[in-house]
Amino acid sequence: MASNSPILESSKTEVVLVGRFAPDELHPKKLLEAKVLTEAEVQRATINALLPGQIVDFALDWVTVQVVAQRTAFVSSQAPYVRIADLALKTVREIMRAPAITMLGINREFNFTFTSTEARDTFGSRLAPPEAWGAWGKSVRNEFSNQLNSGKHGGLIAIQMRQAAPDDREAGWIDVTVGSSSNAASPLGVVVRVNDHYQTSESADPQSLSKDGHEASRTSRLLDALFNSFDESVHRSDAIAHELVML
Amino acid sequence: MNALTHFIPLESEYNLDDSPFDISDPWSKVAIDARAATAAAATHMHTERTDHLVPHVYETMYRLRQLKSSMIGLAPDAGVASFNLQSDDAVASAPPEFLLTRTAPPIRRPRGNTSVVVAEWEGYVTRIDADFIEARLTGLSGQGVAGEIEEATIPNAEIADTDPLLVAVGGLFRLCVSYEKSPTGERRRYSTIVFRRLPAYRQGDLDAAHERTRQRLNALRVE
Repeated sequence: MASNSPILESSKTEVVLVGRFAPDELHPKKLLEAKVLTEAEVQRATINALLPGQIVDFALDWVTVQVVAQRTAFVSSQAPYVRIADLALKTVREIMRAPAITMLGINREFNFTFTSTEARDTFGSRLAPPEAWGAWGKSVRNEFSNQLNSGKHGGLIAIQMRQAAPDDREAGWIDVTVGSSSNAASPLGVVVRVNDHYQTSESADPQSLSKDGHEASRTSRLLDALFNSFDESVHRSDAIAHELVML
Repeated sequence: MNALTHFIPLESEYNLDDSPFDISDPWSKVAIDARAATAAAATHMHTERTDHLVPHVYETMYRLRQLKSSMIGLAPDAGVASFNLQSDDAVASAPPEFLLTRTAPPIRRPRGNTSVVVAEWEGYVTRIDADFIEARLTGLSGQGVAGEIEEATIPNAEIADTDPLLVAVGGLFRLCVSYEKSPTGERRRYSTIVFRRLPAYRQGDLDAAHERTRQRLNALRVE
């Protein structure tokens, strides 16, 4: 590895379920009653927001859980990340009475810090050469001689790439976004976000099911995707982010 | 009562006795304040859809937190949810207006230091002794680790914090070697063992498995 390779400062993983939820069902006390969390975990929980019927948002040592009527998210920066997949599966399958999931995201975020202004510019120019932006792009390139923190240094701010039809799911995509990191202490920070998105396809719906039956079937298929694809998704995102910044 | 206050009742309409939450918790009190403020804000939005209100709830709570933090001389918690309710992406494609005025991270940062995984194994317990457990590990990620199978002896002290119900022969766990960077920049390498809490099999799963077994059995021909 080259000495000017960027340093991975932190990463986090998120499981997002989009659909229809009853936030109150995921109150920490409900998770304790269902033995999804231990008493020690619940006692140490930090409650960020509670609005009956609207929002449940709390944090444990290893996970933050955010639930609103249309969206449930489990976020962790502490490995092993499979814990959030297990938590999502267990809460949906064993606690929620009538969940309806329409989309699933297995998202990752990586915060890298480059070792110098030049290394960061080289990286940005590799992803989006200023010359591709015509004469104006040359003006942007000329600013590279200024220090990054001078306020007179332009360059790539954000870029996004999509794989539209990965063959391991009924429907969905993988979006990768690279941008300036607001988390990094220095202006040399770069954030890479991977949105691994799963949906169901009508063509995969079993025949002769009622509307409710289809809803349950799609929910079940997306949960199966979470169970079967989580590790692979996490490792794939890891590889994408590292290959992206290390090339 | 108009539609908005029906969705988010004002303080006077809220029956605390019916709340599933602990109202004595200070954050619940903040939530109630936020709800009242949100209901007031909602009257300016001329909308009946509650999902539009949720970012404003967070906005209100953020401002309350800022106020609280400034009162005790601390920086406010950096975490404000900025999610798009219609998407599973962590980054809102059309962020609420208030997000444009500040640089909130897109995902709430869990408490504690952040860690980076160096290697990860999936394991299951093969034997339990008074002082240790024996396990079989399969490498999942990490240089020289992925795909390798190893036997391991793990002292009980390493799993002292684990729910004892999970530590049984056959119990699945993950072993991670990570490094952690503290807020002061110090790096520390450590290992973590976490026993997995998998969802229980449902009757439907078992029925489906029995059906698959029956079909395969019927397909077998013995000549």
